[in-house]
Amino acid sequence: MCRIEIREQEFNADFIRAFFPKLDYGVLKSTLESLGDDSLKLDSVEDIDGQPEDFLRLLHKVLLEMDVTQGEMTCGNCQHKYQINEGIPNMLLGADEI
Amino acid sequence: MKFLLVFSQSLLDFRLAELDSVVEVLNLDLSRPSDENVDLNSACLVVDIGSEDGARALAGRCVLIKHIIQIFAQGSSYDDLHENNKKAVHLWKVYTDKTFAFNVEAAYKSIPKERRMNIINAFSYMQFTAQVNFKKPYIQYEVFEEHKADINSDVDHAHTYAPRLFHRVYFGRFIAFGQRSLVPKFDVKKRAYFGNTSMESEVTVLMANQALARKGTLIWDPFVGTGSMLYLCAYFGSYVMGSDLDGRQMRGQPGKQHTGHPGSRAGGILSAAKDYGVLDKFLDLFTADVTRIGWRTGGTLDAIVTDPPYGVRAGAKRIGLKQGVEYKESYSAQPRPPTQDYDLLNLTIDLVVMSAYLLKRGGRLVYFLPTVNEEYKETDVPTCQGMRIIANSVQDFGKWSRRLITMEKFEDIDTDDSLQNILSNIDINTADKNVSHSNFREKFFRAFEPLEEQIVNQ
Ligand SMILES: C[S@@+](CC[C@H](N)C(=O)[O-])C[C@H]1O[C@@H](n2cnc3c(N)ncnc32)[C@H](O)[C@@H]1O
Repeated sequence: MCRIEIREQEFNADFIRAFFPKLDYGVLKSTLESLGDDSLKLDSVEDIDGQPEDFLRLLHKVLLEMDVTQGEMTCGNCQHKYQINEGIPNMLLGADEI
Repeated sequence: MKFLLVFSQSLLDFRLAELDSVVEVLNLDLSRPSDENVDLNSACLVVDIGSEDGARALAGRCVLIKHIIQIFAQGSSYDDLHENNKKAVHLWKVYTDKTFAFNVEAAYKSIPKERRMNIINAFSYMQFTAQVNFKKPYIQYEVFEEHKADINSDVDHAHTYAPRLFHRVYFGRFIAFGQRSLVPKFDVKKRAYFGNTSMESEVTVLMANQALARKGTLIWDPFVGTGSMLYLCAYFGSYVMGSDLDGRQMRGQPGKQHTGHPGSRAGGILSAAKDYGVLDKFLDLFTADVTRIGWRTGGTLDAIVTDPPYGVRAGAKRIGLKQGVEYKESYSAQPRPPTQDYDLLNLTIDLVVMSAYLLKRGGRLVYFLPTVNEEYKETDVPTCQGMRIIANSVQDFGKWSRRLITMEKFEDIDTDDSLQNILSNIDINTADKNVSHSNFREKFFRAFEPLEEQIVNQ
């Protein structure tokens, strides 16, 4: 079961633009889709500075405002499941996994 | 323009570091005397600031500044002051037809009322033509006497009760109060949520300033505990994230109403953030072992601000098995994986190296390092490629101290290099014996006595 909350934030386009190069957009898009949200339409983004404000606002919402409060993340590599409880993901590995 | 900064008499060694950081974060045009020419035992520092707005902005960020005065004149005696003030008519002439008030103060001393009146009357040559207005004066004149510790006295010169001698007197007008009021505002005891290692509010303001917290920057505390530093970073506008090995620390006891009693744990970090009106700045909290942080992308953070566990109240731990213990299947069923001890020496090295990777260029690592006074050498503070120390401010507790270390990342490093190559001043093979903060917990509990004596005493 998965629960999502929105925590509103003042929009900051500069922050999103500066952060974008550090982001794997494809992974963000597929993660969002796995939460049942297909609002990110573009398949890839070449030039963030050329994007309209609407797109930046969308990224802002996904990155800064959406909070998965209940759910789990599965590692694509080792299949470890990281639980999210009360908004706090548990990123600890077991002693056998390190 | 010349301004007098009147400082609080706490945390003397943090004063210039805070001033310099705030000048940087606000991009102020300020020049101050070099470190050797600053007497920290005096409450006064005269600086040049490009504009009055600059002085106000400075006051708006510094917790160690009590207030700021624009200087009209100064002197080594009152006669000297008045002589100089008469030459400075161009600075004050514009105010003499405005409602006014006078405030006469001295650092460390109270001036009796009668003397205060005499001091004020001596300014009558300025020919004030407007009314005195104590409540809302257009201009508040300030007379400030600087008293310095008597160098012939054997009382610690930094001590509030050290005998002091008149040194200088300044005259000018009040510009703004500093941020002393943040100390009660963020007082841990009044917070919706705190624990037994929560950092006191005055220091958290200093840490947020050292981290250059400001709008649009991203700050992380990897030993977040109850979140003390993040509230201030968020208050100054940064986005913040926190993580801790212990998830309960961050969550508090949701669902339960916070009672307001000392030691109350209900609510968690987010409820306190909400009370302070900074909830929107909290991007995320997560449970993680700082030695196993999964972030694959470096150069993302503007600052890492943290108070690592030094093991006095609760030792540092990391996920893993204790030496000599073998892994058992049953461990995987436990809610929390087993942990092993994690010495401060390795912890600080890891923190610095991790920062060299995760910070942006120009980003800062701000953290507390406890040290043993008798053994401490400046080179104990670990550095590594790409990171340099900008400030090292000490708070002395007698036999030990804690040092607020501020480092800046100035270039990217090759993280595939071996740890020893990345470290610049620590030899990992011998550090255990040479560095004063290694085995800090053990040293603390034997009251910092040399090991041999302890054994004899027992
Ligand atoms: C001194 S406390 C921090 C207190 C915090 N500044 C506050 O105001 O509440 C240190 C914290 O480090 C956490 N800790 C210990 N070992 C850790 C590790 N390996 N990784 C992450 N956190 C750890 C502890 O759970 C504790 O909450």
